[in-house]
Amino acid sequence: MLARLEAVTKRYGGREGLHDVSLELPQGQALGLLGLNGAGKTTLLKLLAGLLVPSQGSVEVLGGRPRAMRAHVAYLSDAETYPWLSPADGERLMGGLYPDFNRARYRELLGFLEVPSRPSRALSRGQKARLRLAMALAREARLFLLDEPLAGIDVISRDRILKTLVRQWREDATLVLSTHEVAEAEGIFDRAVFLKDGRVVLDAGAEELRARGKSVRETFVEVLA
Amino acid sequence: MNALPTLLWLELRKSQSFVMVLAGILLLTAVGLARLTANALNTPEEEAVVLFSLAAVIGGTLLVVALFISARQDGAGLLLSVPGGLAHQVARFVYWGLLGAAFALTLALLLWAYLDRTVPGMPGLGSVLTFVFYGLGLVWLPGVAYLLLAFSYVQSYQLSRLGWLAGLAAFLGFFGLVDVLVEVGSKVAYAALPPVTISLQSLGSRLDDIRLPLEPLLLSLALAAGLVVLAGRVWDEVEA
Repeated sequence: MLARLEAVTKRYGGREGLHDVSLELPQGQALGLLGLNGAGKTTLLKLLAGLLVPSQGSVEVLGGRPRAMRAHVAYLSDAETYPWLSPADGERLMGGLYPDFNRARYRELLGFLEVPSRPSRALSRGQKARLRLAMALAREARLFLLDEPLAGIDVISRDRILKTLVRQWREDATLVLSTHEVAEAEGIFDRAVFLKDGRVVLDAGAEELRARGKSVRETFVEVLA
Repeated sequence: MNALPTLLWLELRKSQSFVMVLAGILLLTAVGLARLTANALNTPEEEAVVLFSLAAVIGGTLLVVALFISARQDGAGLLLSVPGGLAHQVARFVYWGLLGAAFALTLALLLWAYLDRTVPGMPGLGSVLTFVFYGLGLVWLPGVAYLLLAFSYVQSYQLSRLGWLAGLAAFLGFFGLVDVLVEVGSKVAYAALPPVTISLQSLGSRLDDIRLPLEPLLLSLALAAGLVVLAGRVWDEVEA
């Protein structure tokens, strides 16, 4: 098992961000983390990244504490990047900080994602998101944690990215991608975890989802309503 | 993998416009010194010192503001950092320490070059540079370390309500610490280590050599190192 959460609860003061969540993430799986805003998706990703510690329960990544394994984890937050950062700066920055950064793959991704060679401040919201995505995916990490990476990208490009980069996910790494745009998750992920108010309300593989005879969107509405 | 060169580059990219403004201040000072002439109110030497002081105050203020803005700039939280907090804070400390030192040294050099031509018996350049280095080690480096810690602390914990009391106590506590260090420094000064001697022989018999104690300088540098380590811990603490 590549990563594991066991009976994890995370409290922020008196409020619970996650409640008694248990998950096992095998290697090579592309997992969609689905839920409304505030469902606990970011909290779960941050726990796996070692950016938060659980109030109760335990989190394990590659057999150790997440914080000790960060060299093998590519985490992309929803934060803005530096306004002056161009794709070339991104290569300089990532290449200097992450030993597993693959420059050739980065350039390939920039081409695939059609990122213009301009500073971030001169890019549209969607173009910024593509640049951030290229920076994260160019790492040869074992666990990829992407928090709403497609926000701001147009529908056609999102579809192309999901079908090309996620549906054909690598076998040597695990992907956890959070989104609340459920309609486009159809047939993309190996597994979908639905979160509501910090609790897992459905954890189903692609086969199981198909067997329900409903689209992901319909399932989403049904379990989260 | 040594991340320090990349982190230093990151600081440079974040502060490029401020570096250009600092260079502009130095250029204006150089031009101003070259154009000084005698007038009814002040001697050119007095005007040179005023110009130098003005540039030092504006440049120093700008450096602190630039450090604050650089520390606050978005982007650091985008991706998980493999290098630890100490690496980030050491890079910031080295960069801002060197930038401030380069600015102060250039400014001192400009003033010295001007006065050396007009004032007879000016001390040698070596003495002036030793004095500037001493001041940088005593004040600027611990100052940078303190600002790094203070900015990281305020930014990380988003002080509010009662948190401000803790922040205020930490802020005031630092000055208490400096007070204690000054007291300790003055008590142990010249006690164990050989002083730094700045030769003023070229001024003839008007002044003796200046002997600056080494102990307060070492205390300041130790304080700076401790503050940088603390700032690194704050970084790690918040990331964890």
